[in-house]
Amino acid sequence: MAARPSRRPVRAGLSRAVGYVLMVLVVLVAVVPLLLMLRVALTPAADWRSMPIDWFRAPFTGSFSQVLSDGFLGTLLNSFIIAVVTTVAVVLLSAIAGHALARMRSRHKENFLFFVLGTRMGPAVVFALPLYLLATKVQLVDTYVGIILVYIVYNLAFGIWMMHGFFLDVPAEVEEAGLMDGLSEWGVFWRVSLRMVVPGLIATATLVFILTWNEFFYAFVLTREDANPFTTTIPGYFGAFQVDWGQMFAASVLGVLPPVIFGVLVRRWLARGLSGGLVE
Amino acid sequence: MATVTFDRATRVYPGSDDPAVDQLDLQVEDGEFLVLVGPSGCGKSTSLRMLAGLEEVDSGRILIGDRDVTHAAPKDRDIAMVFQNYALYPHMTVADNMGFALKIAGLPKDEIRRRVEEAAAILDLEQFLDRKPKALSGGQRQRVAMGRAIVRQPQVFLMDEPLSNLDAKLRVQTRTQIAQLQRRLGVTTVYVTHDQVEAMTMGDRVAVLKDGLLQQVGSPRDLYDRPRNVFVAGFIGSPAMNLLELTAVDGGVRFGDTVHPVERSVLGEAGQNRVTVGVRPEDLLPSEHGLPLTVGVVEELGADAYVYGTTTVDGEEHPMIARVDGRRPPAKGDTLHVVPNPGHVHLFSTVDGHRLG
Amino acid sequence: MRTSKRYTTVALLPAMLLFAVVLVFPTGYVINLMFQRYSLTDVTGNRYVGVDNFARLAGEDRFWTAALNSIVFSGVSMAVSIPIGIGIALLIRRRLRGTSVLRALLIVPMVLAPLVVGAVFRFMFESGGFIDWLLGFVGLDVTPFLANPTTALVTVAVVDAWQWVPFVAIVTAAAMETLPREVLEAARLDGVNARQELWHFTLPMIRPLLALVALIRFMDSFREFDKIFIMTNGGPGTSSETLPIYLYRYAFQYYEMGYAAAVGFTMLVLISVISTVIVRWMRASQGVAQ
Ligand SMILES: Nc1ncnc2c1ncn2[C@@H]1O[C@H](COP(=O)(O)OP(=O)(O)O)[C@@H](O)[C@H]1O
Ligand SMILES: [Mg+2]
Repeated sequence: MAARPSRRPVRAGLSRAVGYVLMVLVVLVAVVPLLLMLRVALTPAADWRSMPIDWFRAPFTGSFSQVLSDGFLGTLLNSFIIAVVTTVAVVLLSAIAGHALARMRSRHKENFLFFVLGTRMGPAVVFALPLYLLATKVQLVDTYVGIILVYIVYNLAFGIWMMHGFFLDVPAEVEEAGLMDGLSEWGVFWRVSLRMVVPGLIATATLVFILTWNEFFYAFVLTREDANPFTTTIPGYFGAFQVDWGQMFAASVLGVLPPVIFGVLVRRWLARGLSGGLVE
Repeated sequence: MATVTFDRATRVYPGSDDPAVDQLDLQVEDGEFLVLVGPSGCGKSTSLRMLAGLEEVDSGRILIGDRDVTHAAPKDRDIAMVFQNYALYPHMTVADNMGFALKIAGLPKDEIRRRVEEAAAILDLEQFLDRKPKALSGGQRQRVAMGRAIVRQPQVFLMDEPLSNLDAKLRVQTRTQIAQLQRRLGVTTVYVTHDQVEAMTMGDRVAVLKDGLLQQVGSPRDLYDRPRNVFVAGFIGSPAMNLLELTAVDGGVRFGDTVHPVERSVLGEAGQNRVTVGVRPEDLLPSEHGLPLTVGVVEELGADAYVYGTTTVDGEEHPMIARVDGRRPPAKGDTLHVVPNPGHVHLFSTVDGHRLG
Repeated sequence: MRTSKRYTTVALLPAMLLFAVVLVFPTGYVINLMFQRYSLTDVTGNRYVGVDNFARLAGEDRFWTAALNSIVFSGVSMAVSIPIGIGIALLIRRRLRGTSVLRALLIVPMVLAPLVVGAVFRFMFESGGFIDWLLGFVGLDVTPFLANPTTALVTVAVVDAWQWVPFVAIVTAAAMETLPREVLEAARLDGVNARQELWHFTLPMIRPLLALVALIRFMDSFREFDKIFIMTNGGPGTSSETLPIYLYRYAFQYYEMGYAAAVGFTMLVLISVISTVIVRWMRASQGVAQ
């Protein structure tokens, strides 16, 4: 008993030290692959495999300039256009539908919500096949419209689910105050409710943007060379016998930068988005 | 300004068999302050929301002035409402909250500003105009909610328990302020509360509701002096009226070892030899005879004291409250005898509770 | 606010139409297709064949391997990511200095494109690559993880887990923050130690959320395509071929659309069944929480 008070601080200090070691470890494991990508992208082919990695050697820009001169920027632009249009459309449509659902008092609501969520679990590989055939028929293969439509629906389910949750948090009375102040139902949605779920809109937008930007399979199947986003170019760097790691990672770094920056900036809202609005 | 008429207005919520408001007939005069009062769940909010257009009317009609608004949208009724939790727009400043309706109505900016400032001056809100509701105290929020209603200069004000989220002291202060403000503006007002003291002190007239049914409408004095049934008798007044089921004898009712005289015709209305006798605590007078009151707790208020005790009627104990002289209060365990003040006895049928005589 | 029927209808219409065009139609198409022999390379023999595709699928060892691989993949990915994620959430909860940096950098793996994650790990797992060097550095044996049929699938699953550990950690940490402090403090005052608190208070209280996390993790890992595609492409042999890869091959390499549709439909059924089990568990645990 007597020894205890003196031992406590030692133990607390030790556990604190273990905590810091773990934190450093977690951070390293989380970011090293990204750093490694950047390092290899800035290293000439001959030294890709030299271990241990020299993290601080002078950068070699050959891979980047090669990638940039190969029209990779065009696919980045495609990624950008597709992701932004999809995000705006999904956020708008999910807000409208999510609000109506949140205010609906009907037995069908639950069913509809589960149907909506169910659409998200459909794997791209299953739907890509008929969508490809359909897109071929209506000549939407390799067009922005085609891939964006698919992405909108692919994300809409989750968007509606999320926005529904956010609108449930808007007190009915505030909306009713809007009605009393002379607004129509649409007016209440647009001028009152929507303004109150801005964090929810950001969370939804973040999630949709990142998911769309990073999507590969639908794009792989539904686009060729006009509307193809950056992800579709990655497999091209894997040759039959060798891989151009330098260029592949140069392209990858450029491709992952927007969501990384975006994600870190809005991380406050990311947890809510990722859990479908379940946690604050 | 306008009158408000509920014409057999009924609301049955989906999935429920009993109407939340059952054939409500009520006329509110132009400029009148009418209070709807009743226990929680009796249908006060539902009535108010039907008038506001926030709740459907299943049958009957609602009129504002001569206009039938039963199926009109809320925005077409020219009504302002103060909600229990204030329902302020969290994303707008106080000024924007108050001016929002005017903005929707398309009034010019400077006109809006002028009217908002005018209302803010009345409500002592000038220094808060640029704040968001989050940065206000409960009392200030309440005033903003009031302000939002008065800048509109509507035909009718609706208020649903606007004071229930304030602390006791502020509630009493604000109560007076609202009543004064209403009289000054002269706007027809329907005010909902579950607090009968609030109802009695604020209303020109008070309407008592129970289980969706209107029990009585009248001035506070009416309700206090001539409650139409046992429910109103027990609900209005604090401490509550003593209600005892007593035996009718020839020429009166047996009140302990005395008989309180009652006209034969009145007793005849009862249709049996039991009647419910109501006597307010201040109308029980100390006496040599009458009902025995065993003192439980004495609540001393200075000039007066209230005795909370029990009395025994036909071998059964009943709670009873009497007001006594505050300078000579009885002690716990004492037994007093009381008789009713002759002019102030209320008699009700034991069958359906309606007032006799 | 009580909304009118008209408002509800008009507001839901655009979403419904999109769902109809881009989801109901394809689903119907798949269902129609799965009863046909429908090849794009040899169109002469295309016709309705009833449930032949399902009979064929049931008899294919390679299908069963892929199904088993899918389950192993999801199982490993979940079993690795969820406990580690909870562990990191507990670390976040300690609020040591620098926790905000940890939280910010923790975002990185999950915002990377899964395809890129696959590519970078493929590079790291190359023989003589970063992982080999790391293992040698800490004195462990070197194994060709991706080239060995017994380790390839699990390795890719662990990479999948790597990407989604932060998801589990961030969501769990956020949920832990919403727990009523008084309850935990009262427990501590009653002499409950840290481990007991975790097992008997914290985890049970966030169980509904963990169930949802498990559901999302299951659905995401079960349909994971990108990482496997780029890291092993199902190999060596078919040792890391999961259902999405298997389906991809039949649809887009062998062009056997009818058979692929049957595989796709089976996959949907499998996902629904397993998800339902998880949802049941979720509901049950919600009951417990209340
Ligand atoms: N939206 C609703 N759906 C179903 N029943 C309701 C709804 N709102 C109120 N009720 C019921 O109607 C009755 C009257 O409610 P309300 O008017 O809110 O009472 P009060 O305001 O007097 O407390 C209550 O029994 C209540 O449970
Ligand atoms: Mg109410």
